[in-house]
This record gives sequence, C-alpha cells and structure tokens, in this order.
Amino acid sequence: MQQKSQPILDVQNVSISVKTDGGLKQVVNQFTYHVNAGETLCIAGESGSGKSITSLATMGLLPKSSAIVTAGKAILDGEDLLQMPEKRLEHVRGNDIAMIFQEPMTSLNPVMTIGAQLREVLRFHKDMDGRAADARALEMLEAVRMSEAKKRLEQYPHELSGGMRQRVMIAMSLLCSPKVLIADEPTTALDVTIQAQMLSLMKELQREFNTGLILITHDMGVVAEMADRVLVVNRGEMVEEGDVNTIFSAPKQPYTQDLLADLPKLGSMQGTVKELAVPEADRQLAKERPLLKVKDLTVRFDIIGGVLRRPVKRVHAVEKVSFDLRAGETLSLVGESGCGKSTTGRALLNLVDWKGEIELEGESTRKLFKQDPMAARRQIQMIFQDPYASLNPRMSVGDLVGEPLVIHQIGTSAERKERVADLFKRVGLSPDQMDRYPHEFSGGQRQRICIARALALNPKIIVADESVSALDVTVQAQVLDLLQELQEEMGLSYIFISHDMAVVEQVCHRVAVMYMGQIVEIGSREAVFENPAHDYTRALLEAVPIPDPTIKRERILMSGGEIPSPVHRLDYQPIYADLKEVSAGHLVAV
Amino acid sequence: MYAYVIRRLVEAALILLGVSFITFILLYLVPADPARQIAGRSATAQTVENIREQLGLNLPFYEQYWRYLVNLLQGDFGRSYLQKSEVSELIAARLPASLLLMVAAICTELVMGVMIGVIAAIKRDTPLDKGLMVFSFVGVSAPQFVVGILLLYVFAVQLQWFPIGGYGTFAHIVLPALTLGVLGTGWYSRMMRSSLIDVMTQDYIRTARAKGMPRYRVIFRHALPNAFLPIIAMIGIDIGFFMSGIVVVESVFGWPGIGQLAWQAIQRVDIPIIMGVTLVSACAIVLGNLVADLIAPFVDPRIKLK
Repeated sequence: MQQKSQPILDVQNVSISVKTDGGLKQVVNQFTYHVNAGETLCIAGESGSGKSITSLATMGLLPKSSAIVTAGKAILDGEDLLQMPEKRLEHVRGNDIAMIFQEPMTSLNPVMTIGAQLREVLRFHKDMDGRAADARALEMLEAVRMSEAKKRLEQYPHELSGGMRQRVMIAMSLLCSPKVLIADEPTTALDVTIQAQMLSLMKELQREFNTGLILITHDMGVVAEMADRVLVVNRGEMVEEGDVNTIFSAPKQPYTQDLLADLPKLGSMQGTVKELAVPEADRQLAKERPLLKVKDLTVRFDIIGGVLRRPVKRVHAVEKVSFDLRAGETLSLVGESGCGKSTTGRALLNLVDWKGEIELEGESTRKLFKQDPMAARRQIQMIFQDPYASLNPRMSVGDLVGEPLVIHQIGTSAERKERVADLFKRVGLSPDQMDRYPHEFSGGQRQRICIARALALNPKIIVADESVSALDVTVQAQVLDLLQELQEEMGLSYIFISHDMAVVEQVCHRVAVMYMGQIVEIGSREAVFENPAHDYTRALLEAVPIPDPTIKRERILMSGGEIPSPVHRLDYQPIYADLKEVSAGHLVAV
Repeated sequence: MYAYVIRRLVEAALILLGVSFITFILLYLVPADPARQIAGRSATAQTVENIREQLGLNLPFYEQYWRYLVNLLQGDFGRSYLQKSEVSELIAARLPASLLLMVAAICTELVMGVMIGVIAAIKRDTPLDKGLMVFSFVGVSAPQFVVGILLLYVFAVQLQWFPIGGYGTFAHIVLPALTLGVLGTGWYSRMMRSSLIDVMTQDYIRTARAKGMPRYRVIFRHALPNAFLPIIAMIGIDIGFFMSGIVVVESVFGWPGIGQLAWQAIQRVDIPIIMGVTLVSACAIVLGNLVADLIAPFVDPRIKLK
C-alpha cells in the first residue's frame, strides 16, 4: 500500500479578477485544492467556471493586461508560484510544473520543427545539447507511442494530425519529468477513439513518472475515467470536492447533481423505442413513403496542382451513401473527423457538387434546386456547429431571424415582425430581445437564435451539423429538449450530424455510422446501440468515456492508430462494402 | 517547385505583354506628335512627314504595336527621339544606380521598420510606443519630395554631414536611401507592431512560455519569425512603390538612375524611353513578387508552392 504522500502542489485561497470597463470583476473566488504525487485531481466545470484561469495563474501565464491574482498562494516545493519573480518562474515552468493545452492544432509553433521545439526545453532546463538532447527527445516521442518517431523530429506541426500533435505536447511536457502536470481539456478537440488512446496514455505515463496530474475538463465521462479526486467548480466558486466515487454516487450539492443528471449517458435509452413524431394514423405511411431518399450519394473534391493547375489528388469525401429519412424522424450521421458526415449534410442542401440521387417527396432535388432554388431551400434548412461564427455580428438578432423571410419575400414587414416574435417565443427567447445583437447572448441562446432562423421558412427537414457540440452539458440538454419539442409540435425531420455517441443515442430514431465516406452500419437506434454489428461501431461505442468511476475500462489499444485519410490518387477506385441486412432495417457493411 | 516557377514565369510574360499593350495605347493617345518633337519647331511639314513615315507612325495601330512587340522580343526597345541613342543602352547604363538605391532603401526600411515595430510591440501602450507610432505615421503620410528636401536642408545644407547630391561614395547614398525608405519604414513598423502583438496572443506563444522559455527567446525565436510572415509578402509589393518613388527621389538628389531618365523623358515626351522604363519597372515588380513568393516557404513551412 502506498503511503499517503504530502501535497506537491498546494493551492490556497486563490482569487482572481479580470479587468473590465467597469473595473475589476472577480472570476475566481478563493479556490483551494492540492494534488499529491502520482495522484489525479480533476477540476470539473462548465465554461466560465474559472477552472482554466486558475491553472494559468498557477503557471504564471495570466495575461497581465487583463487579469490579476488578488489573493492566495500556490505552493510548489515550499515556494509560492504566485509571488515568484519571472526569472525563477522561467526555471520552474516546464521543469517542475508543466502544462498541456486544449488546442493541439494551434499549440505548437508552426515554423519550428518538432525536434527543435522538444530540444529547446532540454537546452534551457537540463543544459542538454546536440546528440544527447536528440536522443532524449526521441526517447520521449517513443514513450508517447508516436509512430515513426525519428521522422517526426524533422517534421513541422502542420504535417501531423491533431492526435499526433497532442502526443508531441504530452512528450514536451514530460521531458523534464515534472512533479506536477496540468492538462487543460487535453482531449476535448480530439476524436473519441483518439481521446481514449490519449487518456490511457496519460494514465500510464503518470504512473511511470509519479506525476501529480491536474486534469481540467467539462466531460464527466473523462472525470470518471481518470480522477482519484474531483473538484467541481461553477461560476468562480468551489462547489464540491471529494473522492471520485463519492462525487458520482452521492453528490451533495444540487449543481453537481444537475451536472450528472444532464450528462448524456450511453446506454441510458436501452430498451426504449422512439416513435416517429407524426400522428399515429400516419406512421405506417410515413415509414413506407420516406420524405427524403438518398441513393448512391457521392462527393469528391479535386486537389489542384502542377503547372497547368490540373487535379493531382482527390478527396473521396462521400462514397455511395444511401439512406431514407421519414417524416418526423431524426436520423443521426455519426463518425469521426473526415468521415464525410458534414459533407453529406451539405450535399442535401446543394452546397457542394454531388453525384447520385436525392429525392424529396419523390422529386429529384437536383431538379428542384435547378428550377427554383428558393423553393427548394424552403424545404431544407441547416443549423451549424458554431453559434458564435454563424451569426453576423453587425445585424440585430431580430433581423437575422427575419432575413430568410425577406430573401424569400414572404409577408409584409409587419407580418414578418410578428412571425419573428412568434419564432422567438417558440425557441424560448423573449421577443423584446429582438433588437439586440448576437454578442449580447450566451452560446446556448445564440444556438436558439440559429434554430429560430432555420425555422423561419417552415422547413420540413433541418440538417443540424454538430449543433450542440460547442455547448456546455446543461445548455446542451436544454437545446436538445427544444429540438425534440419542435419535432413533436411540427413533425420536423432532422438529419442530426454528430460525433458524440451519447447525444446521438438520446435524440435519434435511426443511426447511420460513417467511416471513410461510407456508411458501415445503419439501423434503428435500438438495433445499432444494443446490437452493434460492425467493428468500427463497436470501437466508437467502447471509446466513449463512461461517467461511472466504478466501471474501469479495459485497456484501450495503444498502437497510436490514426484515422486514415480520405485523400487518394486520381486513379484510385474506392472499394465499396456491401451492406447486408442483419435484422429488419439494420444494415451492416461486410 | 519547378512547376510553380515555370507557371509563374509564364504568368509574368503575360503580365508584361499586358503592360506593353496598355502603355502603348496610352502613348498612342498622347496628343503630342513625336515626329514634330524630333524634327524641331523650325522643320518643314515635309520633314515632319518624312520622319513620321520613317517611324511608321502612319501605319494602323495594330501594325505599329506588332512592330514594337517584335522589336521588343529581340531586345530592341527602340531609339530615343531626342538623345539619339538606343533606349536599351540608356537604361542599361542607368539601371545599376537605381538597383543600388533600391537595395539600400529596402535595407533601410526593413532594418528600421522591423526594429521600430518590435520595440513598439514590446513596449506596447507606453509613451515610447506612442512616440514611435507617431513617427511611423508621419513616415507613411509625408510626401517623398518633402522628406527629401527636408533631409537635404538639415543634413546636407545645415549640418553638412552628407553631400547635397550626386553619385559615387557611400555618403552619397545615405540621404536618397533614407528618403526612399521612410515610407516603407512607416508601413513596416506599423505592420510589424500589429503582427507581433497578434502573434504574442497565439497559443504556441503560451506553450513556449509554459515550457519555461526566457522572454527574449519567446520573442525572438518563437514570435518574430511568425510575425515576419506578412512582411515578406509586403516586400514584393514594395518594389512597385519604389518604382514610382525613384522618379521623385532621383530627381531631388540628382541620382543618375532610371527614375531620373524617366523624368527627363516625360518632360520631353520621349516616348520610347518612357515605354522602356515602364517595361523595366513592370519586370522588376513582377520579379520582386516572384522572389518574395519563393522566399516565403523557407520562412513558413506551411506554405506550399502549387
């Protein structure tokens, strides 16, 4: 039995304020926590909880112009990091305490090789140069299971995938065997199978180096999987701290209870059957005559190059995808980045060039979009992933929601105003907010605005592309409820594109699992989630972190497997897998 | 890479063809009569007509252009109307002086602009930053002939540190290079400042700091190369500005380059020279941009030449 060790990092009563136009505003109120050697403390909370800013403060990385620590201590090895002069801090950072960030795509310097970025850490902290530094850097890349580690030293960040870059970040942070490692949402930007690899890698390395790990995350599944102890924070206040089993089995505070309750849990819908959102009498008909029929949908993009700017390579984004969508049904397209799910959604709205057949109520959409694109668009609308980027910041939200009506010349200006007010009420916003601008709304409210805009033209089908992925769980749950309500009221059909298996299970009637541009499994939710028949579907389901600390997963394959690229040579002939019916309506690639 | 260069050279040739066409049209439309110009005021109508015949000015427009183009491809820019010598020889004799001035000016503005920009960015929002930005603002807005005359007055007339004009020694080049470089210094310092401030907020700078890199290394090794990227693209464009700048600067300082040649030619409507200088300038701009684009991938490995 390991003896209970002394805390290596002891954060005491840290308060932080940010500078605003109206003076200082406190964002962190007296956070107190510690981490022991070899232990994992998870700090869990939603956006704006203060979980990241506290860690930046501990590292001395707060932007001085915008935030200041107003009180508290962070003791590492008997020294207070918050009072440390910059020179001493430079020596401690990366050496005794290291940090990994959320965004692997932007966290490495684009103009320096991987090797150079690893070696400089050794040069400054360990006085190591030349061959010795190279050898150590290589050793570390191998320790994080980087494929072809030697070659990577000479490569630049843009030549590596997101998962590989995060491996580099982990290698870099562990080069000097720090006592404490702070990981700020290290897997949030990664695909779920890569996330699973990364989490088990971090666990293993932590054991090897006996590092104290502070893992900051919003994902309770990750918490359950990784934590020894958990600290729940909300709006700059500490909510609850305790042993991971206690937090999950007997949360004391209402906020923690909500957080756990709102969490989409894989398997929570087991044994239930969801009916189409159309009157019972029409259900049979709806099943027999689908609203939307997609057959052999193929989308390819050429990559241009050479003297004559001719195609040199081709992205096989979507390859012979076929599915039906019924009235009042939610069909989910799931898969990892690059699997073609978003492109499929775009093809439905004619936003990319596509081949194959798409029929809306028996009519070819190619013809519809050619003859009367406006009319076609009234039938199918889209909600995007990023509610911040998809609203024009210089238009009032009322104008944004009403714009489709203006473009399609529907109603008089007074009628339009009334309709917009109606839509606002429908999505749970107050109509007197119509004159405000997007920046005055939170992420969840903005997504409601996007939904209202999509509803403005009374579409039959809405394509929701990762529409809740950027939202906090409590907000996500509300938006999902709203989508469900709207479906029941208006009989809408959704194409719900997502990478999140737990969310998908909650909302959909049927699921199509996509891999490398093709559907590998499609069927009713019950069939796919309870009897997954394709290996890839099983891998996806197994990779989802389970928000229950008592279930420890089997070790995930550590091979450093990457998601293959859909870019091929021009003469590439895709291999089509035949779909075989394993039970009624449940098709699997063989 | 080779494919890229070849494609760019073909593009360059097309651009130059376009430039030659446009200048030819413009000069065709100029109301001055070159034959009268050459013959002089006292010449008889018959002499003027003979000269006109000789130069082919009576031919239809497209035929004149065609002849011009064919000569051009053989390296023949035509003969100056007034100086009675080959335009290509005149330009060749003066090009080195202009190139020297341009290189000196590029060095001036790069060194000064980058230095000022970096200092201003590091000392952001201090009086030093504000002072430097006022200076760069003046640099951007002051007309070159004013700057030139001012520099001449202060450093050549009053302080007598540098010669008033002419060509030959290092001292001769200082004031013209400064005058020509002042505009670029202003631009570069402002660009460098905002670019560096922007780069300093990037995630990878936070990573570098989290690794414990000292401040100087964060700025000079991690931030500067990234902040420098927009500047490189700018150098190519800059050569275009220089081409108009040297006409003024060379005239103010009596610098014997193609700018001065062009200025004299414009005053006397010496069309072959004007056209020759324009084409050479266009060549320089096109080549300058090509060189800047070719350098870019060495600084930024993400850029692939396609």
